[in-house]
Amino acid sequence: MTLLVNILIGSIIFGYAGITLYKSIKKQKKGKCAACSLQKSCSTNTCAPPSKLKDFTQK
Amino acid sequence: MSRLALIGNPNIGKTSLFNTLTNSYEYVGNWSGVTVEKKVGQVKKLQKEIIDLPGVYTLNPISRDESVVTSFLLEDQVDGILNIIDASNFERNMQLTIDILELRKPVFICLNMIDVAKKKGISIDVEKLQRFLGVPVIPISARTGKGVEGIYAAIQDSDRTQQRFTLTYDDLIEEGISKIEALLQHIPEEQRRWCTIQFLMENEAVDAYLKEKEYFEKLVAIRTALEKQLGEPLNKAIAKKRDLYISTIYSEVVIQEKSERQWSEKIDKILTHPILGVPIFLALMFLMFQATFAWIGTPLSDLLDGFVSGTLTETVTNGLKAIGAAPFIINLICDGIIAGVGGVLVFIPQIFVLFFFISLLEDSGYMARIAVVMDRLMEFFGLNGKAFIPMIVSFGCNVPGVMAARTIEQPRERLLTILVAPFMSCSARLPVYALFGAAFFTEHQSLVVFSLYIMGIVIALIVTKILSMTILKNETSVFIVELPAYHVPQLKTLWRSTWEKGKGFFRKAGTIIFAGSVIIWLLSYLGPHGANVNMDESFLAMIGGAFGVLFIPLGFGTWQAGASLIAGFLAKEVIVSTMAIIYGVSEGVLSSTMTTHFTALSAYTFLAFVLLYMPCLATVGAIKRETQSVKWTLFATLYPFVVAYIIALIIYGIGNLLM
Amino acid sequence: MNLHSVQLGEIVKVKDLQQIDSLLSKRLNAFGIKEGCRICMIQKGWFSGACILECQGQKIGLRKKDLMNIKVEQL
Repeated sequence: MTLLVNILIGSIIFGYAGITLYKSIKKQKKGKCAACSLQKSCSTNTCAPPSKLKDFTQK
Repeated sequence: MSRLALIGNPNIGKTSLFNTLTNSYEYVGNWSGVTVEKKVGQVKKLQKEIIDLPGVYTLNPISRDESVVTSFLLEDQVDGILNIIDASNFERNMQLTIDILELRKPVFICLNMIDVAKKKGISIDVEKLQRFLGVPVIPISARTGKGVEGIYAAIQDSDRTQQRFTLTYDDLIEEGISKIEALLQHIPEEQRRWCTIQFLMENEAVDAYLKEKEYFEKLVAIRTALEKQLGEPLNKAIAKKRDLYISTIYSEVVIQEKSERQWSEKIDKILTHPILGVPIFLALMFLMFQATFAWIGTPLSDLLDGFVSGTLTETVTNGLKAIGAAPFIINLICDGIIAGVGGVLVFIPQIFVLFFFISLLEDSGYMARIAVVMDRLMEFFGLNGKAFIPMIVSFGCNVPGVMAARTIEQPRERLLTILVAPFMSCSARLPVYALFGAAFFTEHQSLVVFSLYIMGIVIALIVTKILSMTILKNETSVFIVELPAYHVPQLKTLWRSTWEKGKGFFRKAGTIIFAGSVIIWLLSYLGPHGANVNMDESFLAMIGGAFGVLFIPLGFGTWQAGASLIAGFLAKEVIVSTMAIIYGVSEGVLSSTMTTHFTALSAYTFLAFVLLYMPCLATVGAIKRETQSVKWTLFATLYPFVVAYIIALIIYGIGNLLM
Repeated sequence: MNLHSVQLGEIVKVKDLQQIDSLLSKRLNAFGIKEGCRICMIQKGWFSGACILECQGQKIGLRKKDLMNIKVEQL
């Protein structure tokens, strides 16, 4: 009985921690469109419009 | 009609209206450039989607956040537009309104800020305006929600109330318009005229959109020829006609009486005083810190700490023992999670108080004045006064600060601002300062923290200067900032604004800080010789130790410091979590144990290092998204380490000499 | 005369914006500051700092060097 309790608590904690960490890193990598609420209905160009900054940084 | 867009000048109440219509809360601030991305919401009453866009003066974009609007109109589906206008800036607002009316989609004009206009002695004949423009004009007060019923009614009634808008230009121009319209087969018929006129006005976003079409060169040819025929820039010719039209409306619709000189004028004179301006700003900032630390934050925080490390830990321990949990689990939860997450949560009072003051700063309208007052100083270092606003936002969190840089028109200045924004001490660093402040500098806490914030600003300016003399050489800079009317913030808005910022903190605590604490605890529990080892022999000590060697010259070459700093990359608060786990917090003795590993000097050096050394994971993500360049993101992530090291070395060196 | 040499509180009319940097002039245009409009000097900065002006009920901040390129005439 106690073994079960321990395994249960342990797996919840480590599982949650792992998922959270994974999600965070995934979110940063994917970039804006993945993190945006308009994702489904949006046509991509609008969040990253022809940007002078992009031309500047790609120099 | 299922999708509505909110369009209007910056700082006019779009986001306030958005909040009211969607019964949600998006961030509102009293300076232009608050909204830099579009936001989506649902208007339940109408079963429609509504989109909040950044403010623009015209659809012809000048800064990057403005081009979002035109691009949106060109490429996304929008079925109706809510155009918010401000009664006290009628002519200027009309410029945008005409841009929008020519689009020939359903438009609903919301006349906002009537109370402000009244103080200036301005009133508008709504009926007449409606007749002129052919679309509904609804008086509202976006902040309070008054008049919003009228918007619902107008939208539901829209088939009856919309009239097609046509402003006829001179014959020559109209000829040119017909020629171009004939070529624009890809564009829906109703929108061709609008697209043509925007093209003739050299709207960059429209140009970029049409560039890919085969007929683009023909279009350009027509435009160039037309300009030659007219003998003056097309922009000017079109503007002339519009101005005439707007003046006509103005004279019929706007009634201007004598205005009363307001109290805000007097305050402004003092706050933007050429000599007193900067000192006043610094004094206000210092007061902010006093309140955050000495007066409110710390006392509350101590209470919270007592609870977490005492009652809470005891209760949980007993509870766990009762259900038969193993020592491993009890340890994990109490010395790992409660210590780690709790160690950060106890600083909620300070963080919320600080957020409150930042919200106050933003909502009152003072932010724009700061940009003006600080511009001269910023200009000397190669930055724009406007860059100060993202910096202040960064005091809350670097991520929105980095994004706020979008309002800076020049790419070089924008990049510079993004690169130095992480030096602005964000709220996540607060727990670290508070922790060490309480342990080593009790009476002078606020002064110490104040000095760190100032250090962040000074270093940011110096780094900007260096960068602008070397790799990011000077371009012409443009400085123009709009100063909105002062506004006494409503308590409700302030609270929501504060909560919105603070919410992120809780979210972090429940995710990254939680995960970080678990990992760190695990690393401190396991070692090469097995489990439940003496902490000095754990994996954490090994990893931290290897890294910690680097810091010996700085006075904190311990594995504890090393481990904390590595963990700090995830989120700066995790530094405190790590320390809480390492130094063991069961009797709330955290502070006193630290004094054996740090001296007052090395503590301050450590704080300076934490201030500068590296942007956190979330900030790196934001930088990558805003610069869209891996090269610059890497640079932005790594160069602060060098800066931090040098500064820490200087502080420690000089400190030692003086003692 | 140029806009910077105007006294505090004085209202003048904008005469010539030709010498302004093109990006800035686009912005000024968008604000409604064009040839012929009335503008008032509210506050001047220290050490050639930014100044505050008012035009059509709207306050804006501009740099001294840009103000020196705006020609105005007295009413």
